[in-house]
Amino acid sequence: MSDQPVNQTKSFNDPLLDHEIVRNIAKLIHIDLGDDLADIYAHQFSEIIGFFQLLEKIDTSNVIPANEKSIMNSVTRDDVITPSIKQEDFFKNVPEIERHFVKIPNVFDER
Amino acid sequence: MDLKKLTIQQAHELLITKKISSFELTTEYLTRIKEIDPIINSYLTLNEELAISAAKKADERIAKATNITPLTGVPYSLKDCFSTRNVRTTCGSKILENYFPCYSASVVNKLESHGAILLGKQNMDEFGMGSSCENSAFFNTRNPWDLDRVPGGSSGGSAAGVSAGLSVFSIGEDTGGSIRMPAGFCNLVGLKPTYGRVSRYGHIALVSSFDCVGPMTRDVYDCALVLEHIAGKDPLDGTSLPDPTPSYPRSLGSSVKGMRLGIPKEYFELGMDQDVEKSIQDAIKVFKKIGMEIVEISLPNTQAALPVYYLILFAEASANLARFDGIRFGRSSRKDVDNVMDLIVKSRSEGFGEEVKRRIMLGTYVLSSGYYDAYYLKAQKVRSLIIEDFQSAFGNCDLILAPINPSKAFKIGEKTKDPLQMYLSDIFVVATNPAGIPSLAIPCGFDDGMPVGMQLIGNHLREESLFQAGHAYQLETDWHERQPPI
Amino acid sequence: MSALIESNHEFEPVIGLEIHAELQTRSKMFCGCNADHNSAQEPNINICPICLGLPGAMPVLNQKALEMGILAGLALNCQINESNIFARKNYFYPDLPKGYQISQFDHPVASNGWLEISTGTEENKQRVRIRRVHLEEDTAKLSHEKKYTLIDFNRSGVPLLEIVSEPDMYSIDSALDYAQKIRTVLRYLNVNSGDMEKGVLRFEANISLRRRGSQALNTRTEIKNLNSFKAMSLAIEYEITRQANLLASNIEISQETLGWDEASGKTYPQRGKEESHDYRYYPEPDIPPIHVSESTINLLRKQLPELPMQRLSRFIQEYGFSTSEAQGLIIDKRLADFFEETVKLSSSPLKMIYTWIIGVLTGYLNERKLTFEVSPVNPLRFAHLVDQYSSGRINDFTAKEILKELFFTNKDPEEIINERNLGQISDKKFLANKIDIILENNPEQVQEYHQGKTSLFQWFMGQVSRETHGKSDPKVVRKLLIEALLKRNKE
Repeated sequence: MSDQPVNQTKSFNDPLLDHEIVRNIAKLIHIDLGDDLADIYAHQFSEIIGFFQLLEKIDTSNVIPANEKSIMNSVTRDDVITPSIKQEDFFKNVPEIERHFVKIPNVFDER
Repeated sequence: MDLKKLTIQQAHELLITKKISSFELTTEYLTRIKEIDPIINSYLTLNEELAISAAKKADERIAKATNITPLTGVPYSLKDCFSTRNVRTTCGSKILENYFPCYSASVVNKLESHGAILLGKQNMDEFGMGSSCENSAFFNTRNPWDLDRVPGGSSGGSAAGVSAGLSVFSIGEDTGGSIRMPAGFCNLVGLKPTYGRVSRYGHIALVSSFDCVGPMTRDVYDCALVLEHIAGKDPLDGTSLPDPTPSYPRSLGSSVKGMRLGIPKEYFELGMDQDVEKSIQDAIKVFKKIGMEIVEISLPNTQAALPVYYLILFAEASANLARFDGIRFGRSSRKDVDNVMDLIVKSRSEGFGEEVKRRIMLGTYVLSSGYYDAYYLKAQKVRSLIIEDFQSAFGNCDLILAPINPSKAFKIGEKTKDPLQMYLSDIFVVATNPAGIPSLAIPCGFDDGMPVGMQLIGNHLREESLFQAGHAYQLETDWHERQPPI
Repeated sequence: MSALIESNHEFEPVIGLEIHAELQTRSKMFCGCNADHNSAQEPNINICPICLGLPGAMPVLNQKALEMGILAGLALNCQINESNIFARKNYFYPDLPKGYQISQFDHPVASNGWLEISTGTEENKQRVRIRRVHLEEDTAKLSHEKKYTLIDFNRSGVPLLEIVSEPDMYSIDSALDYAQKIRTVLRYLNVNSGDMEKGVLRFEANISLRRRGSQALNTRTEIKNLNSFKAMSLAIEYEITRQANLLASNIEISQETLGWDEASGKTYPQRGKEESHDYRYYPEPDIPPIHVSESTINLLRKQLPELPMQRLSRFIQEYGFSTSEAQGLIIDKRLADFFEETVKLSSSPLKMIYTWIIGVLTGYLNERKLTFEVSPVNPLRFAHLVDQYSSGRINDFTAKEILKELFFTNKDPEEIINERNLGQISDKKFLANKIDIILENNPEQVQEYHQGKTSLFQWFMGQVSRETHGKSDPKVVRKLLIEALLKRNKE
């Protein structure tokens, strides 16, 4: 139903990063890499990812990930309304405004 | 008055005895900044007008003698990763070149309420990504001890600034050594507090799980003083600790006799420059002399700390930087753009530097479908083991002594070609942040004219012990009193 | 349902629903801004660094939102998870200021529940399994103009509850019933206002076809952004037909995300969706895992009101209503509350109270665009009114007039009747006299009536009513009129 990626565990022995992978990642993060940058990054990535293989050798069966243990009392806030910021303060940094809205070029693909 | 030497303690004394006014003090610093900073390049933005008016208000407050704190009227600087209302905040990046936040970080509000005077925002590696300040999108900052060398990073501007007498203290931020490394390179005291000790609200996040806000000062006493005034629970930061803030300066002067100092054997097996090692060994002798017990301890997962740190860093940074899309603030590349997705791509491509792009991409990769278990999840599990390492170690000692950098400050440009090499030199500082424990950087010697620093690492919320031992060390040594030639 | 499907005994539809419900909290999910974006006077005023996703801002969870999530989970027979972990769902879109949405992934508020629906006949009940209930924040609102798009961040950060079902529904009616029952449950819990016009409830439907008798699931498509029950049922129907046609022509169904075009009545593929499948979920570091204790769950369980299904059964048992009558009452909690209050305060028969509420009061409220929640007529005055009617003091017509007046005045019906002497006229002599005068004055109509035009009887009734200013007792008039007409016929 909701998008749950299938985490088929890939191992460290997969082929090292290539340009295609680098370009796909660039698309995901919405950054444009020139062709030559893709080359440089691919090479560096392979090195850096290779260096992470150190972790594979460490036995972590039965270890709970550090970020899934609550280390302190849960923090929540009461359901009260607190003052919002002034619209003009927000708009000071907004590149384009139209009639109290934030304006952007057309959105072509839909969600 | 030697602005390079002035501590908060001394400044406070001068101010309340009316030997100097905050206005005079602030003006002196601003003058010195205009004279010296063109050489050092530590400031990105000077807050001159507002600083002067704040100084005048501080003087009124001091005159009334009510509601004064040790920080009232004392000039300080901020690493440029803290949101400051109406004062330009860039995070060292072109994507925020013209960003004037509409709100201030909690730590900034706190310091303002104490009457401290903000002189300006200091240079840093772009979004905290770097250990030398060479990744700033604007310019390099020079180390006041040797202008051809880096001041360290990412709080390089703060370190260079305080060291060169361009502010009395600075507030930096440490994700994986970013306060301690530059403190070590510039002969300062710098504290990475316990995670959550100081509010992160308004600090532009790099790694939400690791970022710690902390002081950079001339001596341990000042450091304790600043921490006392910036620590505490913040309802706006869900990770800030509810534990009450002790009066840290009070712990100074208590005897350290019998305190056990752990020496991690794996750290010394890793290797460091001869002079650095000598300084550390000399420091051990001092601690022994003042009555501390030296104990050998083991941190078996030391080697794993680097990949754990960097994996989590890449992943979290990639998400934290996704909000920079040119829509609500920051660089917005609208020329020849007819749809919003192109706007986002162009703004980010033009606004982010190379190292930032590299890390965002790596972070996206390690989180992506199919790789999450092998990389991110694995790193979080090994992180648990590192935390356990420290817990066991603290069963046998009260504090841990470690070097900060394997060598002294390197020359500008020496290391920028190989990112992996840069990452590897962080080995001594990266384990504390995943563990959330505090670490205090203290000057402990010199290597061919360049400062060498060491760090005292303590258990969760044990800053008092760090200050105690650090202060005791500074009573016996005078490394921290030396000044750069500038 | 599609004729193709009915006649095609080969395939049956398999439907799953994802429902997004806006929570009725005062403030937003992670900040203190006003969550009531529908009432905002202007765009971009309920804003702060947190819901704007400005650098340095940090989220802190709204306690009430968490409690609402737990209540919903309990009402839907779910397991409440002890460890609640929020996660970042990473993707780029202009309505998503942080470039990620804070949602829940591995450790949602609640999971593994069910809701009983009816599949048409009264005996045929079915349980739809609920996979999970989780909390997340809403996005900003986009409005598209010709050459540009505008963003309003009032809605950014508003708390949402997402309820995900298993694909357990096999007909459009089942899906509708499920969706309506979810809406009712959430209304009962005061968790969601159920105001469809304001878009507080949104549906996403997953549809596939499978061979009858087989358990194997086929490729499914997902239709997003269905904001009404009507849109949902039309879209599902269209999609079922579309898939059936493809299968009949031996064309494979591709797994797509579709939008629904109200105007053309068709589903259409949404572009740019491929890349968004990799959301790279990981735990939100700014919100440490939240522990929900047994005692908290028990406390909230005690706060659960009588739920719709329980109330339905009770109404059938206690009041002797039929299933459909009872459903008519319980579907709106405030209506059911009004009914029960009135019953307590009134001495009139149950069915009469029922009729007056469902048949009359509901209509008057709707006309004035009011709901039972804000009804100016309270159960006490309403009970008094019905009692006046059932005792014969006033007639049907007068009662309705008084009811309308109760919308504008605080007076009790008794007061109004006394003040204006609205008591029903049942005096036979008086009425017989009036009837005589009317028949006397309308000899043609009397003749036509006797010649067979029986519809004129109603006309005569109307005349008497007019003559008596609506106060005559229709039962008495009817009897007297029949007698009078009969007498004249004999003459």
